[in-house]
Amino acid sequence: MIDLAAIGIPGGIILTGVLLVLLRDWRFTVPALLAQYLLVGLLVGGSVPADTRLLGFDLSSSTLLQVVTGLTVAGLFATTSLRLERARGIVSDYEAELDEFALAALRRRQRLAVRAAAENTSRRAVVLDYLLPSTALLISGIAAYALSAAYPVSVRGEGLVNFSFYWVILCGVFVLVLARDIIKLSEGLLVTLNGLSLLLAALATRGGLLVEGLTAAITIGLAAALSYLWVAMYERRRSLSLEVLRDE
Amino acid sequence: MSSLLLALIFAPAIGAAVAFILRGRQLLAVATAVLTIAAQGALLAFTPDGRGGLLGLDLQLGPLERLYLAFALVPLLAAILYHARVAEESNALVTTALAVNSGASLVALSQNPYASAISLLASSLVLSLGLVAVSNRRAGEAVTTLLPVRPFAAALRYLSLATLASVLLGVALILADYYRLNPDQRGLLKAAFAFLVCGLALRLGVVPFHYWLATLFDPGRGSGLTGLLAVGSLSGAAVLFAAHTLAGLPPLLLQNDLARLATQGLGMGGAILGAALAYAGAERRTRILAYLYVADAGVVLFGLGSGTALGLSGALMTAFGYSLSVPLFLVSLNLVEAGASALVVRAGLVVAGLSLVGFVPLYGFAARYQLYAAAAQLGWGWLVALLLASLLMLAAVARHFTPLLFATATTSSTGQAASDLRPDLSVTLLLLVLLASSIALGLYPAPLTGVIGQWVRGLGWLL
Repeated sequence: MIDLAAIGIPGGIILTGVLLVLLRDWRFTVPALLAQYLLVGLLVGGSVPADTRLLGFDLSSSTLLQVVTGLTVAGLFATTSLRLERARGIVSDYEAELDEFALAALRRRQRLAVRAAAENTSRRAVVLDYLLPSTALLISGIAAYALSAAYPVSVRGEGLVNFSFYWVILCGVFVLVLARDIIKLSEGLLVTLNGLSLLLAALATRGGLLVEGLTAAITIGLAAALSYLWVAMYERRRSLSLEVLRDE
Repeated sequence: MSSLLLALIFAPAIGAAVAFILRGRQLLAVATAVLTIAAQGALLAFTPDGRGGLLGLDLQLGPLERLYLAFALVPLLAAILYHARVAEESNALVTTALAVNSGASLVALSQNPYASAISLLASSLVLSLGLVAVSNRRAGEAVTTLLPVRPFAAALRYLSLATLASVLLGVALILADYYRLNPDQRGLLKAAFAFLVCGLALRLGVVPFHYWLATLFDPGRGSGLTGLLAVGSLSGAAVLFAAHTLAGLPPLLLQNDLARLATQGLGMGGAILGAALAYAGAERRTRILAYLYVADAGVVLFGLGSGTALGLSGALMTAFGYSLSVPLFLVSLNLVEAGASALVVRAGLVVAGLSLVGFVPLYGFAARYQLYAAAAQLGWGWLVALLLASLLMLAAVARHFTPLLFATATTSSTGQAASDLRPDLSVTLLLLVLLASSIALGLYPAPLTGVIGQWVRGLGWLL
């Protein structure tokens, strides 16, 4: 009989990796990130004994921490993205304080950023939006398969768990490398960090509640810091594109 | 005992919180920082060696940890003093510096390597935020000019690399733990060592993982104090973390001959390339300074990977010494570039540069000598390579920083007319203390070599 959890959870983790690498709209990538956290939490729960009872369910505290972390991170990212979308067209406090020369310089930079984005859209869109991420996924798939065969990490010999660990790490790295805006960069960092939890699950070990708690705290702190950077950068340049950073 | 050890970690954290609340009042924020540093110093002086803990977190204070924590107070004090008296930075710097010190204390005292790795990341996170805040807002003032976004690029770069380094270190620790349970799986040991070395190289800024370091020292706005804290405080913490990790699992070094050789090669190659970058660079001098530390990070990595007692001891001494050399170098350089021509400032620049290169009779030589001895122990080829890296670093110092010494006060380093800037008395005193310490510890390094050497000899299994 096929164990749905044994296939479904790693399969779901692989699917979320595909979504995170391929898509650019935060409305899809942030839920994919949340789903990945929840699925990794379930995988962790399957590898360590339950030690908490919540709403009638026996749960592992590691799972609970992973779920809470995922919800908080996704909540932070979604709220910040929404706030930035609604801030379009509204003059920020920072802009209001600028003198006319600085304001003109800001407008010029915005025009340049828009023009660069338009050029990218027309000339390199196919390559940057689809071809590179698809190639990255292909490379990740082959590399994850080869690595999981050569260096299996799962103590129970589950091929899909092995594969999903390498897959998540590689997807995180590719999201980072291919990121064109600060949101994707942030997601790449968190996906890579998530690989650590997956490794613990694959090895069926626990770092201890203190370590898991600290990891959750630093993940949430990192997400909060990144959200702050999004807002601060958007306030100053009205753009989240990494191109803006390369210009100066 | 536990309460005293916890106080060493939480005193700067509480100081950071108070400074954050008082960030609109610079004098009060700085006074809070100075009181916190004094309290931290008193705690270090009066807390006996021993163990303690809280909520499953084991803490230990020994002579080595005490030495590092004492050194870590220097860049903290220097950054706050320079900020208060000279630099135009916001009060977020005080909060940042104290928070980083709290994180560094946790790294030094924690017996749990995971907690140490997480604390390193947390400190970097705070520094990244501080970089953006420092560079963009002066409390209570309206910002009427368009602010650069380069600090954002520097912060993002640093945050990304710190996160990646933590992931690599985390994987190394998990694999090392798993090896302890399954000692027959030798492959785990190799993988753990490889991840540890890559994570450490990222954290220290060894070539080719070095670009973030240059942008921290030259973030486009401010005086590079974030770079001062990142290298002056956190590089020492990272090396201490690595030393603790290697000490906790001797087979990592002993049973990994090929990986050890690769680490030595990476470190030495990084040192030579970093020194070449510093020599050939045509960028701002703060960036050249960063490249010099990139080169030195390679030397430190070589020492750690040498598998010899002298190498480990030299790596620890070098990294701890950043607490003296980075503030001296950066503060002197900033002052000279601003037009200061006082003797103490120029002497600071000379001594910091020569000490970093490992010149007799400065602190850097005491540290570098052990690394030379370790290299000779491994083979003459390593010694020649280390000498080459040191000579290139010396050439870089001579090429980029010597002209500053002969620039007149009225022309300054940039060639523009500048008035003779007279450094504040407290900054002059800071420079004098740093200068005297560099020379005194170079002439008589026995207290340091004693503490570090005793810890290294206590391991018993190094060559």
